[in-house]
Amino acid sequence: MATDTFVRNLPKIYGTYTVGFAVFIVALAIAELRAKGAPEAEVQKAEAALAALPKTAEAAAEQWKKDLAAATGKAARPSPHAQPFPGKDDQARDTARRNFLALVFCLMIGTAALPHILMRYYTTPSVREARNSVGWSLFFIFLLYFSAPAYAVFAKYEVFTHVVGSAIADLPGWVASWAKVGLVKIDDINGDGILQLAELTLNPDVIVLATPEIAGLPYVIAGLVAAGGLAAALSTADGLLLTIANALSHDLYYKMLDPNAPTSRRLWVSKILLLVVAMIAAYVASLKPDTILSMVAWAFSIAGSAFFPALVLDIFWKRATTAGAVVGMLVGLGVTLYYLVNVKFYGITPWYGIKDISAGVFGIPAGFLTTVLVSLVTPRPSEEVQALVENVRYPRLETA
Amino acid sequence: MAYFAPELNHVQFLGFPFGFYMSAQGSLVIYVLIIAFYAWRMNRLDRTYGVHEE
Repeated sequence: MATDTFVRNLPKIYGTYTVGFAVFIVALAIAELRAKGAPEAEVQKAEAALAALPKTAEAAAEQWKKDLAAATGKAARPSPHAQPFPGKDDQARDTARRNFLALVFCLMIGTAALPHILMRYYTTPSVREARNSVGWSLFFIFLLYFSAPAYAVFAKYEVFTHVVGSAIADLPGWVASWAKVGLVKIDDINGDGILQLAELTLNPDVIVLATPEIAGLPYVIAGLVAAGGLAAALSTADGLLLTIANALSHDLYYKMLDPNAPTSRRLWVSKILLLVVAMIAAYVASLKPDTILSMVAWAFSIAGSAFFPALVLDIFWKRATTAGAVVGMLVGLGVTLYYLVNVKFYGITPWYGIKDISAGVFGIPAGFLTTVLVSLVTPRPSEEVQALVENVRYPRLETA
Repeated sequence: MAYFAPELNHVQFLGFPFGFYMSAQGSLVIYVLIIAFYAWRMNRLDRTYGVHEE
């Protein structure tokens, strides 16, 4: 019995000893460095290494598991670039396919409902020009996305054929320059002095910046690419911030809380709100709950499920009521957030294997359904409102 | 289209597997054309039925 417990606890006991031993060794090394009067920088480096060691046996086991998973992942054969939905068996492939379609659905609906993009439509003076401007803007967006897959194919080709297999000693300069910021890592695992694929660790975000340099273009191009990315981020961020701050200050504060507020105070309120919203956004972003990609996909899912059903139904279905729209928005938002938070942070089993980034796939239909149901049980909107909808649809019919 | 990508990939298009090409670039071309056509056609319809502005 006692032996049994002992054997079962062996990994833990072993782990405790190993951790204790490692800490002891490093502490010893620090003491030695101190005794030898080593430069302060060296001592600090050793102390940092000590601090980086796992504190308990459990943490060590956790660390080991993570390292093992990362190493196996890197050692696995990369799947062919053009292979759709890679997976180890039919079921995994099926789930991957379902996830892909769900994500496409969420991104599509989400784009249609992103508030800062909707705001842009107010900048065109007429319906005709709105249509034309959509055509043109999509043409330029298309140019960007048309080149992105080519970029990806090119980057992979370059890394696989030219970078992998060359001697580590004479790797091109970009490796050294990016390694300095810690975004590219190379360790010669088998010690043969030649770079193998598994020995190269690239940060997913750096590939975009590094590709021009990998291909031998001057460093300026990488700077331009980074500037482009930054410009896109800033324009999206300020568009969203303005939308949120204006919605809060104009629609909530001015229209509902204080309709008699003078212009100067409304301006003041909107600026303060802008600051507050920006601070909250910066705080959430600094928490880094996931990669940038997932967070963007969440935004699309949330926007799609909260706004899309109300937008579409209020335009195309005259029977839709205010109560229906409000409840539908809340339910859509609620379902999406519930699914997202539970799958991401509390680890419930995903429904149909759908990942948290496509949470909107459940929220959007839920929003539609509740909007319709609640609209049907609440009284029909007044003649006035229906006339307004008609007027918005055919601006000239009334006067004609 | 994406659903049948594994099957479509047996066909080659411009030297790429067809399913891959369509999701990477091909469908984008089609979408832009659809939108351009929509804008052109709706503008004309508006004119025909006298509901255009300006």
